[in-house]
Amino acid sequence: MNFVKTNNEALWDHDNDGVVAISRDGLEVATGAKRKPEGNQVWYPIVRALPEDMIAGHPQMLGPSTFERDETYDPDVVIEVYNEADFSPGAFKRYAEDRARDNAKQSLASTDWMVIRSVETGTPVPKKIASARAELRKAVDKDLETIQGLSPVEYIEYSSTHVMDAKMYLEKVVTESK
Amino acid sequence: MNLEAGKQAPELDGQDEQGNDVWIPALERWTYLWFNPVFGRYGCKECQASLLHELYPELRMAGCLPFGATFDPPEVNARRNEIHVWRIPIIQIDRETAAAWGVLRADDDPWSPHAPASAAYLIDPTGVIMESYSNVDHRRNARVVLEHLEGARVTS
Repeated sequence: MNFVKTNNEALWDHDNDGVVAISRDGLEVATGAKRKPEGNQVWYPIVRALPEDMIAGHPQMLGPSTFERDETYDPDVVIEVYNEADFSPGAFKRYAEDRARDNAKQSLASTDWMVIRSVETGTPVPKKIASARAELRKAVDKDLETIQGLSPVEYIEYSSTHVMDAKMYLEKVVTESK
Repeated sequence: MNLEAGKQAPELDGQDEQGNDVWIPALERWTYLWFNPVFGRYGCKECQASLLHELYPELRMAGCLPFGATFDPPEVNARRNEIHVWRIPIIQIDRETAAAWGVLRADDDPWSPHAPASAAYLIDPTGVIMESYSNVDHRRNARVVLEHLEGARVTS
């Protein structure tokens, strides 16, 4: 479980392990919280309040979060709220496009040093690897084109097929060149 | 708003991904109807439909026909079934049908023109809704449906 630091003051028990009272602005607000001491502040367990339309496997679409005390039900819990979460068809489309670009970038990064070396020392990038890198860049365009032709529900499911294939090919070529 | 259990299910006719006409009341079988099936990313371990896929043989053995229902045309549903290696027929329905089944999204929902709300029904052979599922976690729901089917058999 994750924890978040609060601005509340704690009165610790004898073992300096449990909180016997919590105060804010000099007023006692809660008792019984259990957390490690850090200075004199209280850390609360975080409960994630995921939006109802959250789709499993897409946590990146949640956006930034804020922490709010659960004043109504449990004052010893902080709720992580995603106020800017966007699960509209347009957001899923952007996410599918970003994934294609990011997957390609990540894969290219593993052989970027060869390109830098070729610029700095004149050692050429092995032909097969240069060709696989070019295929990977083309695959991004293919994926972006495919995404344009999908129905909105398919945006949710799309997994940048062309990039993934080209990525596997580049990995294979790199392994074989070692 | 989902339709309540115990009521007669509305009619549902449409084309499946093969272009076959499907008319639910004519089936006279236990039917599991899932509106807006979402598969999750291909290869994703949390694929939402995976459990329904895995339990498909068990559902069929229990005498239950599972269907998905979307606004998408047969060619899109065929493509999705092929990519995700799913064996469950997906029927194209219109907004009128979605409204009759209580799964039409509000006008201000950006998904309203593209997909019905995610909901599911278990319908008995006489066309009565035995179970109504809203906001269901479909990773678990196939198991729940099997339990409900078993329960219905015991009581009938």
